[in-house]
Amino acid sequence: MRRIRFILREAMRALVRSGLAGWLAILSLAAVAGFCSSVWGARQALEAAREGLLARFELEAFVRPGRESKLHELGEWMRAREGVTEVIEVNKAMAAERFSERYGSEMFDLLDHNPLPVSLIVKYDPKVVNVKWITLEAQVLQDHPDIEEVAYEGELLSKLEDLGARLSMGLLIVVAVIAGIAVFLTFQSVRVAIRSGLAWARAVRLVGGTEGQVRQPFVTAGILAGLIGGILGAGLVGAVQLLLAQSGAVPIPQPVALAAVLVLTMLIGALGSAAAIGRRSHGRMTS
Amino acid sequence: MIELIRVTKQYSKGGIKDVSLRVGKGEWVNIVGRSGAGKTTLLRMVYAELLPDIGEVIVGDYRLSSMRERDIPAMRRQLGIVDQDLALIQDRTVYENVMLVGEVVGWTRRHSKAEALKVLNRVGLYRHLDSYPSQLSFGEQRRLAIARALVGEPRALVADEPLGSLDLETAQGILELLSSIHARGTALLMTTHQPELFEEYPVRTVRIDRGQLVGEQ
Repeated sequence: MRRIRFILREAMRALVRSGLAGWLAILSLAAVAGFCSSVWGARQALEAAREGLLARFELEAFVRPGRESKLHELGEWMRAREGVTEVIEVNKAMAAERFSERYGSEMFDLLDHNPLPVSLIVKYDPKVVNVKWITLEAQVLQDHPDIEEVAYEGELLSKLEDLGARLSMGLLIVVAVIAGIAVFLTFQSVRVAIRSGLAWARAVRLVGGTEGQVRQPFVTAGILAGLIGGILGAGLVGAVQLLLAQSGAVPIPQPVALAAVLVLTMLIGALGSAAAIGRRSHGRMTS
Repeated sequence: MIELIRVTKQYSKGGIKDVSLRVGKGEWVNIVGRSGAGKTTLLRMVYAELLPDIGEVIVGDYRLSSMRERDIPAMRRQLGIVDQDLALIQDRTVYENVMLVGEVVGWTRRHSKAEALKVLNRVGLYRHLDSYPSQLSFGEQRRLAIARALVGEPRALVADEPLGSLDLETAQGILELLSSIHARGTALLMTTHQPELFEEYPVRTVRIDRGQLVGEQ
């Protein structure tokens, strides 16, 4: 316990000694935390929007002419399939009604019979719908001997997925760049702290301190910078998100996400300081 | 207490060659010699800041040749070390500089405080507890470095030029302090340029020249 207290106290002093470099490291780590929290929030909002759109997604399977009597049997078969939330059996009369609603009833006045096929309208759980899955599902239906054709808005799905993937990749690149900058700045700040702490390190060694007692405060300084930066960045974005969530614009921030961001910034801080110490090990830091 | 057996350490410029030296319990040994003669090299090998190329260094129960690196701190805790550059922490007060020992060793705060105040009283810095090293005179800075080395009552004090760059009056004061430390049974091993100052003290003087011991008084 005393050793932990010693390391924490010396880490705080090392952070203070690093001055402007330390503040820059904290700010860059705050930027990482803020950006990661924003990305998380944006992803949540995007996911909610995607689910909203997909809730309206439907697939229509047209029954082969002459097999109209199989409609209910096919409906039951569809209801038993994974991810299906609703199946509407559209008989000839309903098909005509739907057609008339969209295009008017003139066609039926001209024809003496109803040429429209019977069909099944299938709705799916938004959580399971994606392009790959729906393509496979459509293929299974298409291969059924009683089904003539399958129709769905594949383009909408593709666009949504493409947008999601591009957004994720773009954000990931930006997070990686900011994280790289944060590692560099933490590395620099710990280097400054080490340089200004050489007399301290020498004194600790002369009075019988271990290498761990000399090095751990500097690593801990990086972790502390990550923690402070993480709390600043994630806290600020979390507060804004909480305010926006009250109006329903974005989902409520998740504590797990905030904790993950803090762990990430602390890891970045540790990485930067470990790099600085590793570099210093070849120089004057070791006696 | 401290023994060097046929120790050699070579640099491109200088080092020490085949040096054997023994400092017994409670003994006071001064190493004298010109600048670059190898005094500091010899001293730094005693507290394992430098390792010999050949030979053996023994400090108490520790043999440097068979010692693991992680045992060096424990070995150093048997010694009080005063480095030539003093290694004082400039952004900490006199009291905090001395408290560092207890913090490193892992004593309770109460014990560290008692030890720190005891040694600061002994070296005459009791009234400067809240001063920073830069606010002290050269002599007082030496006293502070000695105070820090004395925390925990080490069996031997190893000091590199403790009188260096001091005026005669201040040097006499430090000498008296060292004498009082020796009188309490602590062995002293130190380097100096000014052997004449020690004439009145029970000191064994070892002369070093170009890395080799050349005489003893």
